[in-house]
Amino acid sequence: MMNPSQQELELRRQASAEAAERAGAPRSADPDIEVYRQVIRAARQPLADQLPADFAERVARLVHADEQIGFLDRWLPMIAAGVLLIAGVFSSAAMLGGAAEEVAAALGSLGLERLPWSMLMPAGLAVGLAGAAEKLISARRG
Amino acid sequence: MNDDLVLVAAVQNAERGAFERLVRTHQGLVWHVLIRLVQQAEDARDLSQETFLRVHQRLAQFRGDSPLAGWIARIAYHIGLRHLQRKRIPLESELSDDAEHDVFAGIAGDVDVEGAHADGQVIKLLERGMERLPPMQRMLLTLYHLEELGIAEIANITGQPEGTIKNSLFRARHRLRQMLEPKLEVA
Repeated sequence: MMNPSQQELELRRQASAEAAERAGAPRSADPDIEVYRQVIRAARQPLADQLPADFAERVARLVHADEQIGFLDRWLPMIAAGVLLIAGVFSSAAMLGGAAEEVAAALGSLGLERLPWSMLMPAGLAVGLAGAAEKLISARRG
Repeated sequence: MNDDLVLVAAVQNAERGAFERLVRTHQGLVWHVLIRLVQQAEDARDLSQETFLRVHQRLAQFRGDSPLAGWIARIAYHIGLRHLQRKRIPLESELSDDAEHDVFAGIAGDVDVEGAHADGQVIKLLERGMERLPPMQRMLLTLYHLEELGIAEIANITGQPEGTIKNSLFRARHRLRQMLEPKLEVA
């Protein structure tokens, strides 16, 4: 442990060494200052390990890919749901056209004939598929 | 608008090549913060990447009232700090002065400070010594002497008072000097 006067002395030596290095002064006559100059020179040496040359390019590519996934993440489930809903309405109307009366009669016995089944069925299907799409995207993001 | 804000705006407008330019401009500083803190090159590379991904996510929070370099370095510093905490590596030495002296014992063994390439040998020895300093001191030496950042800028990055930064720098340089002392006495 240094006493305050020793510490003061070392601080002055370090400050002198730093000033001499900044000024590019010739070798100091004081060996204590010279040692600190060597310490400063060592600290200024470029490091052996560096980031790879294509680091910036790779990180930028990652960010770009992330943005694209972000876009898909936000919009794909909604787009999928919309498309499926429309397709579902049309196909259900066509497919169930003949059977609608039978189904309505069957549902009527259950008291459910007033529910809009031709809308609810494809909507349910669309929600399910949208959920699956979202899961797929999450899996891709890892 | 200053250069930092121009670059940030370009990134936010998704201008082609803007983010790559931002990374290229600041990757050196980020690398110096992280490699000095965590020391393992592979970890430092991963953390550098994590830093820039976070920078991209938070760019809207940059107000331009301080330099972008410092703002990015602060993110890198906190990412490095969290990594050290996870690995239970202390930022500053928890050893006594004597125990710290032992850490450097033997490091100067094969160095000839009077030989034809004395300066180069001493620099190599000091570089080895720097690797044995606590993470915070290693990083401060590099930010101050290699990156040539001011004490105030370093304080801004680390969130520590300027006096603490000055004291840590002083101790780091003094330790390295002590490491050389036995060789210099012989010479």
